[in-house]
Amino acid sequence: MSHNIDKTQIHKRLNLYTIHTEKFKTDLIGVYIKRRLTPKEAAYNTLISRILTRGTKKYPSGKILQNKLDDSYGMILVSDVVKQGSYHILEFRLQFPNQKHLMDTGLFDEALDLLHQVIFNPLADEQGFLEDIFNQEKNNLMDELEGRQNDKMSYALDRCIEHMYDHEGYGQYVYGDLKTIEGITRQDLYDHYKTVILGSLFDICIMGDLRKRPVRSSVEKHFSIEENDYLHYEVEENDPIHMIPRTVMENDQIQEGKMVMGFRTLVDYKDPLYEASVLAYHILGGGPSSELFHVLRDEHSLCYYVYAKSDKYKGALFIGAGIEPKDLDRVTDLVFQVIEDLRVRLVDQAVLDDTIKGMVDSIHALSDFSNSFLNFLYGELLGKDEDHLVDINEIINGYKRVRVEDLQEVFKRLHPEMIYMLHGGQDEIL
Amino acid sequence: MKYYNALLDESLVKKEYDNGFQVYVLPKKGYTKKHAYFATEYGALYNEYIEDGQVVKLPLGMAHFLEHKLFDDKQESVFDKFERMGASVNAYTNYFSTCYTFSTVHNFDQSLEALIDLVQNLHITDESVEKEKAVIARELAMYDDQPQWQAFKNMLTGLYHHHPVKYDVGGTQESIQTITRAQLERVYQSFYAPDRMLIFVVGDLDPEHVFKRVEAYLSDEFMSRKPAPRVILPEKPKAIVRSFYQEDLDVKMPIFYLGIKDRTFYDDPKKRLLKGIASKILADLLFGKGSDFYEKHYKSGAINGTFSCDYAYGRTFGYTAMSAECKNPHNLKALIQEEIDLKLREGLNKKDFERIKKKMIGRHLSSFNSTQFIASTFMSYYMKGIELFDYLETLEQLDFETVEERFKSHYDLDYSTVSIVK
Repeated sequence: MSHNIDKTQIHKRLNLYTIHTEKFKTDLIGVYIKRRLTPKEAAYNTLISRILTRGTKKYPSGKILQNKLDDSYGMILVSDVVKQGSYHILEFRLQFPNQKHLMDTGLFDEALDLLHQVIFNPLADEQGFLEDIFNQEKNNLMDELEGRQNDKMSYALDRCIEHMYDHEGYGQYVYGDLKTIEGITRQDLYDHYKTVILGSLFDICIMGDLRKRPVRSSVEKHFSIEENDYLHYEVEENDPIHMIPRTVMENDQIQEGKMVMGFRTLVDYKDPLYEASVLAYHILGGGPSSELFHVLRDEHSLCYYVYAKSDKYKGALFIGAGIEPKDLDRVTDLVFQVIEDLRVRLVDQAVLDDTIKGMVDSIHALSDFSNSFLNFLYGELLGKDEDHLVDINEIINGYKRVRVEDLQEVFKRLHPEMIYMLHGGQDEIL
Repeated sequence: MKYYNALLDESLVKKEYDNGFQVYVLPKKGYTKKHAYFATEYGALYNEYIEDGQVVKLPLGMAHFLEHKLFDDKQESVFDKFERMGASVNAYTNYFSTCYTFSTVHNFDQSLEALIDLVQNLHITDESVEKEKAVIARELAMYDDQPQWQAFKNMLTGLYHHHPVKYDVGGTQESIQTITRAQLERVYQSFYAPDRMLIFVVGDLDPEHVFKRVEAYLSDEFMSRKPAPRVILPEKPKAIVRSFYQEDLDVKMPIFYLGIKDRTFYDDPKKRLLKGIASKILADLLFGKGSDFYEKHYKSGAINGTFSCDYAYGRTFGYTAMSAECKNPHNLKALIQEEIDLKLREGLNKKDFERIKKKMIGRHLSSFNSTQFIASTFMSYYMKGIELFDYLETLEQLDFETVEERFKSHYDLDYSTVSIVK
């Protein structure tokens, strides 16, 4: 990869990463704030991320802020929270055309200032965030949580995770839970906001054509934050493994059942088998060449989609498919059979070679997508040592070293914990 | 032929053959991935055509069914074959077209050969056709379980009497059961014809090289297929079917759709594009996140962040659709009407028009970051008879008066329908 990733520690809680590339029409700035995933953090941080885009002291309404973005050649501002393992990340991204295409030379500094205004200068009074904005966003968030059942496929996956990790922080839904949100007052929220702003680590990543641009001094000038101590988080321990998978059936008005099977793998990104696990899951359920697709769709016509999705921070694997509820036992049996088969026999070397090639290509191809690249970069930085530098070649070599025996070892470590089914019949917990 | 656009700093190279087949290459320096699309201008809307003096009527969902069957395994699974080369293959059917595509970092030539091989041959059996029905039935059921989709479909059903735009691209559970192998083979021969097909490639590639490879891989049999039959375009009646429909699906948050039916159509693709852009600007200007309406009603709690408004169109249909997930969807239409009346009285603001135009120029420029986006934009415009670079030129030419006129003629809620899923 031709990109140079430079890291500058501006001070102890502000890191700057710059990635210079000339191929994009745009520049992209990402600001990531790392927090610990707890029910409180999930709810509070989500609400904060919504309120901050409702206006700032400088752009004092949602409309004025939006008009400013439009007028700056359609800048795109994203303010959201994401869950990565046991972390809850507040992220802000701003994308805008690179000034080499336009006759507008101030856009970069304007963008930094705009992000700073959004994150640090929200509309607030002595009692906290402005009351009407607070109430609207709180109500909207509660409505959104009630409405999340509308997207059946992702709802089924979320519910599987919630049941499977019902005693761990990781089971927490990314946008919080209704009860916690309901109890938030605007003073509480503002206090929490202050804690986040004054006591968290900030990583700011900038990607684009940064030639001849004093990025560091621009950041220091337009994006200054106080140099305080911040909280370091330890990764959450996994609960002991349940010996027998639990089955949870939940009812919804739905024609096609959504099945999700949850496995603890205990292979997270720090494990020597991590790269092997990524390849193993791809062979198992990553797309139409996968074992599960062949068996469930091609051979048995039991589903239209089937996927295997893992969480690298948590060491978890989820297999999902849209099926007829009556086929549930048949489908889960087939999934177990496929896994059992992969525990006994070795995957063909040729299949592994192709999968490695595909993985290497997709890592290279990440550089074609600025948003994905930035998220990938930040994902790699998460939880690593402070002075760890992301080396793409090192990541690629990790994949190239994987052997078929490693895949077998990963399959042996897959431990089924949960069979979750969203269906059109009655609720039952077995 | 080579086109260049200075603002985008991109060029597009086109080659056209005597039988009407076209190949386009957009070279993109420094990009790792290369994408190729092999498409036919045959989609879900085209269910009637004239062949040998006879009108042929097809079951709904034919184009999509055929797309599935092109993937029928020959010696090895098509997906495996591409994966072995490090490429990933995919296909989609929409109203206007069926596209087969792959993306890859390495082995571009080999993958292109495989793609062309895939599309220019059809091998099916009665048994495989029957088997596919179960898979497609699952796919349709999957969409039917999305209440958003259901609400949207009910809106279309409220706008259109017979126009096939109101049906799922995949057809209906009933229509797919009637599809036969003989029909699939006949349709394939008729519409997978050079004069209705094209190849589009984007990536770090030399156009001349691509043209040579394409010529080497296309079979004589394919290049000598007879011209595609004439499609009977669906009718364009102005009246709506119903002004309101509600379906009870026991959703937690009701879903609202309001569609305004387009009654103005142009045969000239450039005029159609101008109308399309003016309509998209209006959607944003009147109801976008930076509009008076949005600010006012977000504050009052009538709408939330899910509210959106956009315009979609083809040769024979068009509609502005507003949607929201909110607790009280029933009074939204009145608020929308109120806003339209207000703007009709006070007039639109030219500054808003200029702001949105600037935003659209910036967004279009930004979209050229993504090779995949370029490809899908190219395809969607091509299928409407518009060349890729026409967009910016037309956008820059568009004046405020055209948008004002379009506002007065299009935003009439007598031609609208509301769909609610509760």
